[in-house]
Amino acid sequence: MKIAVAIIAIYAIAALFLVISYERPGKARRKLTGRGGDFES
Amino acid sequence: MKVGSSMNELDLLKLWNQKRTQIIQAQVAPALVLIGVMVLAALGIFTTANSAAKFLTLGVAAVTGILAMITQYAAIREAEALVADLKKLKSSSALAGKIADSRGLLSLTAIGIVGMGIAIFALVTWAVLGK
Repeated sequence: MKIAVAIIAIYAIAALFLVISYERPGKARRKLTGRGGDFES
Repeated sequence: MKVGSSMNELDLLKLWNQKRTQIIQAQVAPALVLIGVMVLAALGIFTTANSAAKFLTLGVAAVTGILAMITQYAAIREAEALVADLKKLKSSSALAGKIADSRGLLSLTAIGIVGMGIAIFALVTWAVLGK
C-alpha cells in the first residue's frame, strides 16, 4: 500500500511540475552579440 | 507585417476547431490503455501477475497519461490566446462572441484535465497493485 501511495505522489508531483514549468517558463537566455563583453570570460 | 494583423474571424474559428480536435485526439491513446487495464483488472489478472508486469502497466499508464495531459494543456493554453484574439475583433458573429466568452470554461477545463488525470492514475494504481 505504501508503494502505491508513493507512486501516486510521484505522478502527481511530476504532473504539477510540468504544468507549473509550462505556465512559468524560465527567462530566455540573452542573445550573444559580442557587444558588452559577451565573449569575455 | 504586424504580428496578428493577418488573422480574421474565420481563421481564428478554424484554429479553435483544430484545438478542440487536438484535445479529443489526445484522449484516444489513454482511453485505449485504460480500457485494457480495466478489462484485466475486472478479470482479476493482476492478482496473479508478477511485479514486473504490474509496474510495466503502471509505467505505460503513467507515461501515456502525462503525455496526453501535456498535449491537452498546451492546446488549452493556445486556445486561451485564441480567445483573447477573438475578443479583440470589432465586428464578429454570435458564434465568435460565444467562443470569446469561454475563457473561464477553458481555465476550468485545464484544471479538470490535470485533476482528473491524477485521480484516474490513482485508481489505476489501486486496481493494478490492489490492497
